[in-house]
Amino acid sequence: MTGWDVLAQQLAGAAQLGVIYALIAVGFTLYFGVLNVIQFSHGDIVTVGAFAALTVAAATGFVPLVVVAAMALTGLVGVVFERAAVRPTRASPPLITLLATLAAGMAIREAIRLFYPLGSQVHRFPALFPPTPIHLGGVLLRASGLWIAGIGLGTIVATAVLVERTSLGRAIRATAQDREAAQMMGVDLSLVLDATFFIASALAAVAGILYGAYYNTVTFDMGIVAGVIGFSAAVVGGLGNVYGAVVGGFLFALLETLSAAFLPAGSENADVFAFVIVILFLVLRPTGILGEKATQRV
Amino acid sequence: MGPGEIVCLLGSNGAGKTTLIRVVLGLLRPSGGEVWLFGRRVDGWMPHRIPRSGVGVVPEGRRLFPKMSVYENLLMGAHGRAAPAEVRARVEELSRRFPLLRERAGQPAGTLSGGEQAQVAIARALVGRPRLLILDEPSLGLSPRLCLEVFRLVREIHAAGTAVLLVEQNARQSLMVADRGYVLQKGQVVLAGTAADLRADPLVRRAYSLAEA
Amino acid sequence: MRHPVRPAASSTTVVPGGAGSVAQPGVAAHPPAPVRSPAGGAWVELGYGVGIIGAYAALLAVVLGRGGTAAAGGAGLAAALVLVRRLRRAPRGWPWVVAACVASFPLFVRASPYWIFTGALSALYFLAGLGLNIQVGSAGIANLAGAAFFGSGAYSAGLLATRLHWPGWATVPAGTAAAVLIGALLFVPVLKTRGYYLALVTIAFGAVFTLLLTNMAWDGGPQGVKDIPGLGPAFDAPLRLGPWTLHFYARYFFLIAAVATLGLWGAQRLAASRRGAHWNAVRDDEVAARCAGVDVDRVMLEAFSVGNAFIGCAGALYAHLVGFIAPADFNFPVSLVLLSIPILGGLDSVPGTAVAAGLLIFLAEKLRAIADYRFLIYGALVVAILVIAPAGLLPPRPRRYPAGRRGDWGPRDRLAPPAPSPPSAPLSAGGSGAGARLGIEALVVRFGGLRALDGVTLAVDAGEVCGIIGPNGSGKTTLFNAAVGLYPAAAGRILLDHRDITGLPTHRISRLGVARTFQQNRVLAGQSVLDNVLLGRRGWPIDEASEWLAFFNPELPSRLADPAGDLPLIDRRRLEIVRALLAAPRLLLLDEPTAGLNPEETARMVADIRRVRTVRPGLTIVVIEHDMSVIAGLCGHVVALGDGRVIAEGRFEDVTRHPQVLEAYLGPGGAVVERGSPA
Repeated sequence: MTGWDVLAQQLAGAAQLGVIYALIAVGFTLYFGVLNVIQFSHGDIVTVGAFAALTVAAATGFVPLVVVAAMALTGLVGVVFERAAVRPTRASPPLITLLATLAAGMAIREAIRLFYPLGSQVHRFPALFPPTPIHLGGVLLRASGLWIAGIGLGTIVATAVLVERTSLGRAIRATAQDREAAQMMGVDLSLVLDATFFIASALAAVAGILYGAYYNTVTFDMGIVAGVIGFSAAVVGGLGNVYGAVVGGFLFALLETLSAAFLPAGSENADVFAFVIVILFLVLRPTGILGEKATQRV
Repeated sequence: MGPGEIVCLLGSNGAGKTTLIRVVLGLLRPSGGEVWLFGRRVDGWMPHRIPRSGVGVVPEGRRLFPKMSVYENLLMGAHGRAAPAEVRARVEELSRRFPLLRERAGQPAGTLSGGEQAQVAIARALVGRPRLLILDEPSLGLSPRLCLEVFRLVREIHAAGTAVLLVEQNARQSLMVADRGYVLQKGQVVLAGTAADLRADPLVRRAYSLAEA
Repeated sequence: MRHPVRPAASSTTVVPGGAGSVAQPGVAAHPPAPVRSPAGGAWVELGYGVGIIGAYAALLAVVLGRGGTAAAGGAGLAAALVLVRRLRRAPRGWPWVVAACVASFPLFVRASPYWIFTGALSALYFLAGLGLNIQVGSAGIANLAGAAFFGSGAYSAGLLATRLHWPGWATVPAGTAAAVLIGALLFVPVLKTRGYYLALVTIAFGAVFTLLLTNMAWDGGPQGVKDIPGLGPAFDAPLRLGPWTLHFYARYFFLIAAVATLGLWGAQRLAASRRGAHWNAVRDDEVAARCAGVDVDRVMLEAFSVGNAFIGCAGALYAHLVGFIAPADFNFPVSLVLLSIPILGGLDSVPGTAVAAGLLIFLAEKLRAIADYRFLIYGALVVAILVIAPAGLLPPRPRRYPAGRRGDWGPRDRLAPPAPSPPSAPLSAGGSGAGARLGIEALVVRFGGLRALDGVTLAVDAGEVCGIIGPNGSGKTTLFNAAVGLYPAAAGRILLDHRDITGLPTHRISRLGVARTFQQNRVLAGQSVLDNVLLGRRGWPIDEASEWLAFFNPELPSRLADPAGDLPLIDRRRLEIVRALLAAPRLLLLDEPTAGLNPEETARMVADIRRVRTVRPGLTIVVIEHDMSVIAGLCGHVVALGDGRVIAEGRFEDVTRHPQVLEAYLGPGGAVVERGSPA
């Protein structure tokens, strides 16, 4: 294999991871934009999505049904999460909300471990997408990879349309820019909060499914790493900015895959390099790539 | 306040004008007392129900959604109230009165000048065809010329049959357009009466330096 | 009975136009409203004691598994919580009650080494929690990598003990130092990033830390460090105490409890000191702190490093206590458990940290008995506590002030009658009296493409009162911000008495004698009146502070301990001016001192500023105002700005009639002044 092939293969991997990270990061950024809150357990919502898909997939092999059902279930979990842990602490200092979400996340994680059959073990994720090899100009790709990237991109585009073109999306953006003025225009704040958590959690479910499809396995604690990476991507992209989150997600995936491929001892230390670059980046550009909402909170 | 009236609410900063408006709009819960709107008691309502019941608001500082286009801002003005086609027609109608709305439809509202923002904010409040229009300090931060323009607009809106509640520090001009007025000080109504009476009141004259004008 | 009539309001009178004077020193100026009467105090003390012992009994009963005692203890605990919420300061004896409870703990649970171990563990977490509380609670540095610094201490101690066979007395200090040094890697991010961004930096740092520990071989890799020896040979033998023989864990328990007590003492001292006040100021309002002369960068790094020292020390002791450490002991979830201690206890509350550490660790260990469900219950409980008590279990009290005698706390005691000195003496003692000349030369300030200040040149002579007017957006406040170094100058110079201060950091400029107030009032709302006004001072010049406060409002000295946010706007504006005056300024910059005040208050404020002039005749003052009557009342010399340039300068009458000024205010062809023309 030539260097170019390696690069192309790495880029294909980065594209798949990128959509996954972007989907998670968009959730972080939606929460922050609308509520000015960091939902630190968004990673655990991703896990919920993956396990919901696992459950549905056991009953039916029809992929669209699996995805939609997982999204709906996870979205509801997100709304319950918001009502139980976020809304009651919304008026408190941000660190309190942060800890409340973390603790609620821990409860979710443990609930999966305890109540899902054999929850503490590594679960094989069903092959939802065919792993058929595809040769594209000498580069070997898998159909499943294309599916992952395609579904991820499609979901991102659908989200963008939802946020940019619908009345609900307008209400969400208005609330993010000026909550009180939005209420003065007749926006139902409670509905917007529920909708935000439903959308972000449904996106997390897609991310969880794609994550399972990419790694072929899921575990109850996979959300910790997924959450940290998704949050990094959201911050690097500029909290509160949906497009920034997408860019951040791809950037992080690119960093990870490239350092794994080209740096010495890279495969173990891929995340080390990625995180060090995140730190350096934040020092040089403290409000992210497309940062707009500089914050003094926390 | 009766239908079709222009009432102004005067008072210096911190007198409680904006607090009163926030209570009326349901954004603050009153510790006591009642708020009645169009024959219904509305204190305790969720905030979004008040605008939907026919109240248009131009908040203090105008508070356009800075990153949304002018057109989207206008759409927000009728949020949850009317069918899209109807809203589009209404925006079209308003665009005839405010040519600016058409010229700048796609521009982010945050990039408009203060006077332009004031026009958009007032138009936004009118999109929902309110029965009552509340204007909180519409003249703040505008040059005197633009102020006059705003007050002329208020009179015009009123002539079209909408009741107007005008909250102002600028006593002289508001008393000129209003039918009646209230003066708030330290959270209490200290004076109430017709605009002409208030204009003549020595306290008002002294506090707002009308004498010099 | 509980609230005697306050004599404070009548205690001082102010001679209009002259200096404030204490009319009746002695009796009348005496104690403004004690918090509670002595009789009530005794009950409270008793209740407090019952509460602590009840809480302790509840803990023991839960540990030992006895239902009846638990119920009694629970009732005591509830009583304690109710009392604690009502108390403004703790009764004197309680530290000894707590100490007795802690010291007797191993005796009660002597049958079970496991619970002694748990006790030692919770003391460790308390120590680490104190460190995090300094960082997160006091200084607002969102550290989500507590476990990494804990691990730095633990790995340093563990490796030094196993590889180089260092004894315990050397490894623990070394571990402490290591945590501080590793923390130094984050100095730049701590200074450059804030809020959630800093939180992410620490998360990323923590992730890198555990990944490196796992991936490198020399430190034991994923297997970690095994067989770490005890702190010393003495620590491996059972402890004999009179008739009892205790498991050797009791030795660790007592040692760690002693270290934690030392840490508690230090943390309390720091929290009560001026340094603690600076941490809070940096957390609450960095700009106000900088402008008052606080070296924000230094203060933040100090808080970060002191916190890391606590965490590292706890980590080193942990390595010796447990004997085996691995990377997984220091990952992100552990950081969260550590962070939850100060948050749950009440941020910036040292006693709260103790309660939370005890509760969390014992809860976690007790829940171990319910095996699998413990983390689920733990998570749910934390959410429940936060929803019920969002400020934490024991929210912080207002800072206490040093006084001559122990137990004699509180500003109210300290506010005994000031010595009957000549009225103006303390006020004039604060500053050199001489004002400074401010010179601005061709100053340009840019925001992106916009030139907010476009070549402003002006001079204010020493002792002069200069007014700056101009419409919104003309650059008035920008000029102040540039003068105190908050905004960088793109070109031009700023001179203070011929000394070039362009480009100096804000706190240096402040210490050279430039004090300012803000258009958007920037008192630290959650902090006491005294903390606010003393922000720019060293030590506790309480008398001087009270005197300046009384100069503006005779009632203010009786409210030294109240949160500044409770005061009405005019008093908050006065507070800012007193804060500025206490810094002994030579140049005072007032940014719209009457914004938001009604006409009467405005008139009083103008009169007060004139009186400041009579006490401090040499002080140079620059006032930004919209209200022309204020400018007319104060300033001989007026500068009008428009679009970032000086458009007119001279006497008030001339400047306000200047055609360009009229045009800037009114638009072309305008005729009337908007609000309040000169009398």
